[in-house]
Amino acid sequence: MDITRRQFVRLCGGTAAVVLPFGLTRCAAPRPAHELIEDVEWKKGLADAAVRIATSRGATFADVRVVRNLIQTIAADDQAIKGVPGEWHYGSSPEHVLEKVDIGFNVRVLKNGAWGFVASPVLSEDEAVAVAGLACDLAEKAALTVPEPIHLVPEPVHVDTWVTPHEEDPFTVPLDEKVALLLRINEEVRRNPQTDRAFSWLDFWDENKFYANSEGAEIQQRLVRSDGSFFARARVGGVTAQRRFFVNPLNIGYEYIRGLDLPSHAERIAAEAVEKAKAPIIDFSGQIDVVMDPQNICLFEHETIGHPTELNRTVLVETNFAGSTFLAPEDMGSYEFGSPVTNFVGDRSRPMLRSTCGYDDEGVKTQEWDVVREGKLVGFQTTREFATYVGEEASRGCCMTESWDRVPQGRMPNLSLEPGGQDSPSPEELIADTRRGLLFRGFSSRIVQDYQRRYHTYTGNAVWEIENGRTTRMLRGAHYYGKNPSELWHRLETVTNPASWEPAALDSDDIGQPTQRNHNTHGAPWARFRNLNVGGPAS
Amino acid sequence: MILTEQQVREIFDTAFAAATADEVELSMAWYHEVNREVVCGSTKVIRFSNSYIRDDTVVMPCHPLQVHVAFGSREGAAITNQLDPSGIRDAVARAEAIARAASPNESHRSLHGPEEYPEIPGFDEATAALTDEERHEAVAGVIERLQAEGLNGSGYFHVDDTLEAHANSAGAWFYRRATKTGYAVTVRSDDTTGRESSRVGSGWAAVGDLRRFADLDIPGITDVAIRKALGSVDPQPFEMGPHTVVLEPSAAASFIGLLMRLWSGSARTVGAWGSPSEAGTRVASEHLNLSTHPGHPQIMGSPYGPGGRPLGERVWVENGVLRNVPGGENGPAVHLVGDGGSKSLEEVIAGVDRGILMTQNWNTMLRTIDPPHVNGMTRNGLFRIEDGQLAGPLQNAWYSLRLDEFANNIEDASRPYKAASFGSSGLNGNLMPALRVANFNFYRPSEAV
Repeated sequence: MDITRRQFVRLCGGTAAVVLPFGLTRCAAPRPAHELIEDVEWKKGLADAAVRIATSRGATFADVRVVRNLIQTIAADDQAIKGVPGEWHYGSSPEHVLEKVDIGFNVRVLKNGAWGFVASPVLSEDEAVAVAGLACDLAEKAALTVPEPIHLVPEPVHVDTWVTPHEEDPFTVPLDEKVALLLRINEEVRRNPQTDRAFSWLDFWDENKFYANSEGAEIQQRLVRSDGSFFARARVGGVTAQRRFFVNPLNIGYEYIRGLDLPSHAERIAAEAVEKAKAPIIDFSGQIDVVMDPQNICLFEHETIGHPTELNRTVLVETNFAGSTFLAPEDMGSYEFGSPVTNFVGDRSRPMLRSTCGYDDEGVKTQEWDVVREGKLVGFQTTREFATYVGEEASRGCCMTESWDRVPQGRMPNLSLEPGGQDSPSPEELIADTRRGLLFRGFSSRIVQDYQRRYHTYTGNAVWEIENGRTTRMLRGAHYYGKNPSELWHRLETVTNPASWEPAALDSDDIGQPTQRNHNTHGAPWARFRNLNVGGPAS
Repeated sequence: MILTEQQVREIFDTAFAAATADEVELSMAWYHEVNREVVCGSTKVIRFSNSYIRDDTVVMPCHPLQVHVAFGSREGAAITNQLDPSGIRDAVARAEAIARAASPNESHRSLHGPEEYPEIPGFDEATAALTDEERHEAVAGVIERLQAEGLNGSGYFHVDDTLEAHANSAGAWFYRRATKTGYAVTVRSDDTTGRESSRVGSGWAAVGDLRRFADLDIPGITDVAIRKALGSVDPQPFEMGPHTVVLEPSAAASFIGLLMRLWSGSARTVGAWGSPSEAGTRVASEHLNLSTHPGHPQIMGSPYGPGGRPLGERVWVENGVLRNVPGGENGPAVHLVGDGGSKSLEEVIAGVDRGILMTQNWNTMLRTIDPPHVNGMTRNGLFRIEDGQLAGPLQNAWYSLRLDEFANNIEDASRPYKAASFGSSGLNGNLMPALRVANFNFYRPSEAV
C-alpha cells in the first residue's frame, strides 16, 4: 500500500521520514521545532490531526495556528549597546538587547456554540490530538454558560501562501553592521555639545504563521517587520528635553533601514532637542487652531477612532480591563463622527503597513473598508464572530493573535485618516495659511483618555507656535484636549494633499487578559483643526 | 509537566557546555516584555464577559530559557522556548553573537556565586492539580448569579503553575516552584452600551497573586463588585476641587507604586528621569509604612533577587521617613506590604465627616517629574461619604495633583489588604492599605462608566 508523505509523517508522530536502502523507511529521531516550522506539509499534517479530532467530537468549527516569532531588538544608549528602562515613547522602549525565538501551536474549537482554546509549545501530532481534545472539553463547559450559541459568518476557503514583500531579510544582516549604525547615530547626535544623551534602536520581527481550519483553509504566511529610530536628549539650564526622530515602522526588509540614512538626521534632531530644552512653557489656555503632522495624528487617531470602533468593545467584551466605547453598534450609518473632510479607512491589505498580511488569524482574506466617510460612521472592526452585530455577512478580517500562546481576539487593523484631493494644500501651504496656531509634531505617550474614549488630552514630541503663517518658536508643555468627537474631529477643517500622507505607526499596542501586543499603522496627512482647546500640562 | 529540578539542570548543563563566554547566566522564570507578560510554566484562564464564558484557555507548560552572556563587559541575551539541544545551543550562540558585537557596558556587574536563599514555599499542590472542571465550577456559580440578576459581568480568573530557576557560571543555583491565582471582575448594573451608559452602575473587585486557590473567594469578590455596581447606578455630579478621599487598597496601590518609583529615582516621563531621594528624609506623613516582605504569609514570593542576591525583608518607609532607597544594592520594591495599623477600611471611612470613596482608578501617570505631577481618573465606583457613611454614587472624575503632596496629605491608613492591579496578566497582589488623603484635587467630571 502506498502512503502519502503526509500520512507517513503522521505515522511517525512528527518525526522525519528517513529513506533507507532497498526502499525501506523508518521514523528518525524527533526533528527540532525550527525545522518543523519550515515544513508546510508537516504543519498541514499536524493541523489535520487536530481538526479531525475536533470535528469527530462534534465541533462545528476548529482552527489551528502554528507560529514561530523571531524577534531581534538592539538598542544603543550613547556608546553602550544595552537595554535601558524605557518610556521614551508610547509603550516603552526596548529593555533588552536580545534575540528571541518563540515556537508553538494552538487549537481553537467552536463546540456547542462556545469557544475552547488550548496552546502548546510541543510540536507533535500526539500533542495536537491531545490539545484538540482538551479544547473540546473546555468548549463544552463554556457552552453551559452561553445564552446564545456563537455563530461565525461565512468566509470562502483559502489555500494560499503570502509573504511580506521584502528585499533583504533583516535577520541575515550581520549584527556588527547594525551595532555600527546605532553607535554612529548616537555619535552624530552627541556632536552637539548641549546634548547629554543619545538613544537609538533597531527592531525586527519575522513571523512564520501557518493557519488551517475545519472548512479546508490552509494558509502559510510570513510577515517581516523592520523598525528603528533614535532620540536626542538635551540639558540646558537645568531643563531636560528629548526629541525623537520619527520613523514610520513598516512591514518590509532591511532595505528600509538602509534607505533611511538615520545618521543624516541626527544633527537636526539634536538641534531641536536643544531648542526644546530652551523653549518656554506654554502660557496660553483657550481655543486656537492646531496643525498636526502625521506622526502626531497617529496616536490621536489610534485612541479616538481606533479603539472606539473595535466592535467587541461596543458590546462590552473588554469591560474588565481595556474598557468599552462611547459608540454602539447601532451608530453605524448614522453617527456624525467628524467634519465633512473626516475620512477613515480600515485596512489590512495596503502594502507595507504594520497590520498588513494576506489573511487574518481566522482565515479571512484581508481587505480595505470605510470606517468614516465624509464625517459619518459607516464601519466597524469586525471578526467572523462579531460581524453580525452590525448586520454584516462577512468579516473585515480583524481577528488577530500575537503568538501561539494567546487566544485570537478582535484587534485594531491599520486605520488611517485619508488625505484631501490633489488640490488640497501641502503641509507648507497649510502652515502658511494659518494666522495663529500651534504645530504639534510626533506623538508622546503623555496622554490621558478615559476607558470609553469620550474625552482626550494629547501633546506632541515637539510643539511650535505659528504666527502669520510661519513657525516661530518652540513651546514646552502644550496639550490639546476635548470631548470626542464633538470637540475634536468635528473641528477638523483641512487635510493636506495625497503626497503628504505618511504611514505613521505606533511601536506597540496592547489589550486583553493576559495582554497581547499588536502592530498597526495609522497613516495620515497633515491636518488643521479649528479652535481646539489648548493648555498646559494640567489640561 | 513542569520541568523537574533535574531536567532544568540538564538543560542548563547543555547551555553551559555550549557557551564560550566569560560569564553565563541562565534563567527560566516569569518575565515582562514590552506590553506582554510571559509565564514560565502553565497558565489556565477563564475570561467571561456579558455574563458568559468567552475564553476558557489552557496554555500547556512552556519554559522559556533566558540566556545572558558576557565577554568582559560586553553583554548579550537571547530567549528561546525550544529546549532540545539544538534549540539551546542556538540560543547560546545568538546571545554570544550579540555580546561580541556589543560595546562594553560600563555598568556591567560580575556574577554572584552560590548564595543561601530563605525557604519560602509558594507551591500549593491542590492549586496545581485543580482540574478544568473545578476551574469551571469556580466561576459557573457567579455567572449563574449574574445572569439570574440581569447583571452584566466580565471576569478574569487565572491559575498558573510556574517554575523559577536560575544558574550562572559562578556556581549559583536556584530552583523554585510556585502556584499563582487571581480573579478580577467588573459588574455593570445592566448591558447598556455606548453614550447611553452614563447612568449605568459599575463595580470592580479583585484579588491577585494568591498561592492557594483555597484562599480565592470568587463568590465573595463578585459580591463586592455587584454591590458596588448596584450602589453606583445613576451617579450624581459633585463639585470639582480638593476633597478628602479614601482610596481603597487597590486604588492606593497605583499611587504607592508611583511613589516608590519617584523615591527610587526610577520615575520616568518622556525624556525626563527622576533622581533618587535621600535615605532618612521625610517623604510622607507618619501614616505611611512600606516594606518588602517576600515571606509574608499572604505573599510567599520568590526570595531570588536581581543578580542572584537573596531577597529579604527590607523597610522602605517607616512612619513617613524613607529608611532605604529602593533599587541597586537595596533590591527592588517588590512583595510590598503597606501597613497602616489595625483599622479596617470601614473604620477609615467611618473617620471621614465629608469626603469621597474611590474604588479604582485608571491611567494614573506622572505627567512631569519635577514637580511630580500626576493625573488620571476614577473608575468603577465613586461614592460620597457623609458622617462616616457611604451616601450615594458620584460621577467619575479626572484628578490632578502633586505626588509629593499626596504622600504628605495622607491622614489615615488601614491595615494591609490583598490588593490587585488593574487588569493585566498577573494582577500583582501586594498587601496595601486603604488611605485617607486630604486635598485630593478633582478637576473635570467624566461621563465614562
